[in-house]
Amino acid sequence: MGEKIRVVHYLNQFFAQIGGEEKGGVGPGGKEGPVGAGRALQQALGERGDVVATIFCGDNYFAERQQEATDELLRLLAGFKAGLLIAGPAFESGRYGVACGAICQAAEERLGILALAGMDEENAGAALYRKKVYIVNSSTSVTRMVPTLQRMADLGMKLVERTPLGTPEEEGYLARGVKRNAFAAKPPAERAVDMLLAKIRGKPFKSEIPAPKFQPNKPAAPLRDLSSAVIALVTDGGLVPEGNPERMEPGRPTRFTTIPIAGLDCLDPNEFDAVHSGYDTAFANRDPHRLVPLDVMRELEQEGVIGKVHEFVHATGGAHAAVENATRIGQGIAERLKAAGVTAVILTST
Amino acid sequence: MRLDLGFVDIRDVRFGQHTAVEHNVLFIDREELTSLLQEEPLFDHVGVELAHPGESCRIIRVLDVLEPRFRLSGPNFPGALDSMGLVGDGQTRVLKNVLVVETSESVARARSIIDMSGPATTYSPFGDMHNVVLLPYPVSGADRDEFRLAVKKAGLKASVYLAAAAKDIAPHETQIYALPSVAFNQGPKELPRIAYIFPMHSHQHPTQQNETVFYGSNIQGFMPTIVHPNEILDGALMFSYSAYTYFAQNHPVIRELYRRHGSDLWFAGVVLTVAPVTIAEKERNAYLAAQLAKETLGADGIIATKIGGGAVDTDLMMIYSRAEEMGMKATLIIMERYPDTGITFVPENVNALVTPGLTRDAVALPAVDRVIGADTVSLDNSNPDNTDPTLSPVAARQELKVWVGDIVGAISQVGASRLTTYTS
Repeated sequence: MGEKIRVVHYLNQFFAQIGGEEKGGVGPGGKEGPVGAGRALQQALGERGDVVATIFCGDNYFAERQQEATDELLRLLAGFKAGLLIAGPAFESGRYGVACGAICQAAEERLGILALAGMDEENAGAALYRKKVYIVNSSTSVTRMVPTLQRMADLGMKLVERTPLGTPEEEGYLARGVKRNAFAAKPPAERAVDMLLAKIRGKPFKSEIPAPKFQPNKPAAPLRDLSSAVIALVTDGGLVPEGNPERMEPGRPTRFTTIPIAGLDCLDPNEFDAVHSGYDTAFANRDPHRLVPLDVMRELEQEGVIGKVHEFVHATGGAHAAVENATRIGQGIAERLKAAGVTAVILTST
Repeated sequence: MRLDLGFVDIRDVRFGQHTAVEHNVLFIDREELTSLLQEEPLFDHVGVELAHPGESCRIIRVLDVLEPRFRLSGPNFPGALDSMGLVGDGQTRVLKNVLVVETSESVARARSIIDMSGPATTYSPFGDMHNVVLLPYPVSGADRDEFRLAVKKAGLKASVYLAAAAKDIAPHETQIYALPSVAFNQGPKELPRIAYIFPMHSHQHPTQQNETVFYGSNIQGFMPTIVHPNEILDGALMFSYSAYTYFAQNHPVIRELYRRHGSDLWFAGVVLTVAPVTIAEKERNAYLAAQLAKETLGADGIIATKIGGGAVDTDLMMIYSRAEEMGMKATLIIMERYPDTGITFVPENVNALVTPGLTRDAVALPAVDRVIGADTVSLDNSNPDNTDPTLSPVAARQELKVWVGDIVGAISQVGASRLTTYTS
């Protein structure tokens, strides 16, 4: 058994026994040792750790001045030399839940201190932070304080000791949406046959990969007049200027390129490259118009069929993009095009 | 058609005066094997090394692996090694617990690793086998792609050469794989008829013109067709990339369907196909593959797997949808790559997916005493995702941080692994 871990507990003004709603404006503060429910946390930790301090902040103060409050709480946290931060549980209190999530994320990202929060699954803080930090599901009932703190203490110790975590169901935390491997009792081929036979016989079965949920997008209204349209060319085929000066990734993209094409009638294969790990790029390298049809668009522009071709091409590499990054890249490109007065986009994919 | 796979148990592999199997020990005449492989003009020279279960030993730059096998009558790997002929019927000797490992400097991913001990062996069966490692080195100026094909052919040669040593030895176990012609393949009414739809390659990375994937064909323009499952097991198929030939010889889905044939299902047969690159071709192959399963094999349900990258997910989903529209039930095996990407192309009606695991899951492989394949490996040991080719090399014997998918044999897209996944 190693040294006892130094645990700091975060509470709002109510659970820190400062006062109710009327004290919501209280600024960040800290005390040595456990306060209130912190004593139950100490019991849950037992010999494994010490609640060396409690830090707190009023819910209103945190909601109104999040940046300032976070900075001050992190300063206190660092001062107490915390090895683990436990925030809450906040149950169904939304502002408290958001504060717990925010302080945990900041502690991990800015100070490298392991942290976990507790709150109800429907708490606004859970929606905001469940992908970033471990959140133990406390339910809405304050009577669940002691068992929730027990789960938080156990999970916190696993994080500290780097013990592999079990499933969300086993450990009691909210799924973060991150896939992990687990050893299985039967090989995949056997499971596939089992699943198929259950399906044929009308017996229950469960897909091992749930279908992803995407937010539906409302398509833009059709163009009324092509001859005045400003049309942009955008591709996920990995088009970059020769030498890839913006260092666009061939797979797992986090960024997009902005390629000036004003004054170009066509794309010279010597001046452009395709960077993409998901297909054979030889053909696109030989003729970049296979990715974006600038040559044809210029003809249409000259004939007056379309108004004009937008002066920048944007490109990213589509292979294995994380959904979050892909969404951000798409929004970034759309914002630029919108600001530049583009009225239509031709998207080409590989 | 009836295939008798005769397994000869091998308890040790050693270099010796003559290549022979004696008292469950495979002796290899190193010089004879080396000169056989050196007949290839693209090889400057060839090394052969042995690695045994439990050794503190790491094999890197693995291109392909296969099980040593010898067909007692008829060609071995027709079209790819021997002249044309058929496979899948007759007797084949198998050296059990032996693996032929091809290594090559041309392996794009330096981290294709077999560790003979440690955590890698909890993921892959290959560290528990006696590995005969081939190390061909190219003549200067050799074409990279031609060299790769030559290394794969060397693997076939070595496999046949080694297993031929057991041709007169009575097998310790014989497995019989028999399925009659489609016309007579009728089971009891209560057993569901299951077909396997098998896209063996994705042309998102096209095969070389002279590449020998199926009976020596480069399978460009391949259309869905019915093959006998024994042909896959007995040397008709060697994968181009993204899967190891061992898993064609020991195809997990085919073996599972055979294992349960006549007990809780009836094995209706195999439809072999490819994943092409254009939408029209993808749609055509999905329609035709499902149609063959339904109308020619009379299947009630299908299992489909994939080989290749994310692009093939669309082919699988099309196969699934066509099969279900035709009144068959479908299940897919589909590998996951990144913890946060998910499988993007999953239509709402697709409710039966099995995952053999997530390739990008970090594993630390401890330092070893001996490395085969190369002394150094170019990788970013703090970030296995960094594949920048200009990375400076590190010692291959040190502790390496790799992805599960870098461990050869840990996850096969055709349905072999010890893993599943969950959302954490």
